[in-house]
Amino acid sequence: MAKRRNNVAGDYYGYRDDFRNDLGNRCRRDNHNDGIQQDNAQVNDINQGSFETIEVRDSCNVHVRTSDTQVGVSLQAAIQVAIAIVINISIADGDRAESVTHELLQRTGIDQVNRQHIVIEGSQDVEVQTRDTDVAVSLQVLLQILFALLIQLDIL
Amino acid sequence: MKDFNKELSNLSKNLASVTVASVLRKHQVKDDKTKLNNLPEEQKEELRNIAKNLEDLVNQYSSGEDMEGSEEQVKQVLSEDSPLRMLLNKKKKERDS
Repeated sequence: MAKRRNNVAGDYYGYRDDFRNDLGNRCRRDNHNDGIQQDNAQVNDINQGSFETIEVRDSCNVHVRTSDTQVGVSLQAAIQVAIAIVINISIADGDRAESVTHELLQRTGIDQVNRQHIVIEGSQDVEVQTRDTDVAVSLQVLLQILFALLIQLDIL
Repeated sequence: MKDFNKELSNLSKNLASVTVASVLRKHQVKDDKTKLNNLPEEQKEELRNIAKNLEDLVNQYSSGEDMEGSEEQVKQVLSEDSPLRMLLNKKKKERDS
């Protein structure tokens, strides 16, 4: 999972592959505990990067509207909380409920990188509207998991 | 194209359903009803309201309605009177008392 996160960060920040490999080799050389494997399975695995630039040159009357990812992130957290609540209320054994919650949230792991570069040059009366579809997709997936859970537990 | 999107949406819902079923089965919850709490109808209604509220908010977000008033949307998600917030407050009070 750490490798996947590194890849997303690398894609997002534009690391070169040789730099990434070099970093990986150095990490391996410095690791004195090769026999120890850490299990990160309990960490929710949604890695997203959005990189958006809008350049306006020699133009007038340009209106730019972009989606607010803060709303998406709030919604994502709210759905995850709702999933955890449904499981904790429904399953009698607390430890089992925790394991189910972690595993379900882990399975919604999404790696996405979104790059947008918009250039408006020598234009007049332009309206630009952009939308971060990455967040929208992960919200839909989480919502589907929530509804599937409600159906399977005979709540819906 | 509309049919194709609907088909993809159904496929995604089915995959979510299979995923949830497999996790519940793995943890021996699916087939053994004794491992589940018998929830009163009132509590089930609360959970249904939370899911419906979240679905509405996600649909608004996905359709782009939030662009007109994103600040209001954030306030709504974080507001005291959202079903999710009310349930959390209720649970907190139950735990504290």
